[in-house]
Amino acid sequence: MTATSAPGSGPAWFEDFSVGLEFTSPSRRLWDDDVLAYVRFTNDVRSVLDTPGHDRLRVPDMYLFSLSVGLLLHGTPGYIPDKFVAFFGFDTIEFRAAAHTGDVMCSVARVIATTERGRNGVVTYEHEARDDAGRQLVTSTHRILVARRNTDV
Amino acid sequence: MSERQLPAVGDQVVSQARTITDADIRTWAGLVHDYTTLHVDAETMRESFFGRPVAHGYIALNLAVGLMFPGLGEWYAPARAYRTTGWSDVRFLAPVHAEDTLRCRRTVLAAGEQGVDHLVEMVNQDDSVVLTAVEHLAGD
Repeated sequence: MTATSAPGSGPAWFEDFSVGLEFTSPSRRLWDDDVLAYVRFTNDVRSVLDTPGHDRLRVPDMYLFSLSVGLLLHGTPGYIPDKFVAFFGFDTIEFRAAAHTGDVMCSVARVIATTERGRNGVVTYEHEARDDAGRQLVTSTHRILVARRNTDV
Repeated sequence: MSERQLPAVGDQVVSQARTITDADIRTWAGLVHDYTTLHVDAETMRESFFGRPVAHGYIALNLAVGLMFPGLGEWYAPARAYRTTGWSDVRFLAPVHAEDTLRCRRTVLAAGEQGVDHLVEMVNQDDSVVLTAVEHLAGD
């Protein structure tokens, strides 16, 4: 598959998407404050209880994943397009490697399928987050519903 | 080899409940930098199909883990280890709004030396399932 960057203003309608279109997030360092705030919010306490001898906190896997997708909203325009209708969910989420505070990560989402569905169309993304050493941290596939320009169906 | 007994297929647990608040939605928006209109703009959402902001689907998904602690922590994550290898078929079935109260119901779908699969259902105060997923956990 050949990757192509999304245009400057980004896709808006379903017809603007094509297989290979790629959306890249900015990079972001993971801080102790991130982990502590996540732990306070979710009460998933594993990163902060009984962890003697560790000078860097383990980033909770689900936070790593959630943030990696959220960062895509700040990258290449159009990952969630103007004519977005609905989010279907995640077909797969796979944790590949652990991250710790101090690590820097960024994400990319690539279009791997586009399927017309009545007045809308389904865009399927393959997403991955890597750290600054190139390690793959988490991957997912997810689908969004986007309105079609031509609604004479 | 761990002496911990494997869960049996069909075993089910239900977590304590948690009421989602406006503060939760805004806190989550900050945690993942997602201040999308759908989630935080009450004025715009008043005119929408939903009539009010919708909580991020990720809140229910992440609380499916958080609600395991502390009461079900040892069942879910013995010795507080990170055991999740991944998730599949995560589906957001119904919107969650501020003041909805969620519980997590988990049913063991498969259990063996290689790992355990949980059917995860987030259920609201009306017993409506708002999220379903399968979580895959590594064996002990």
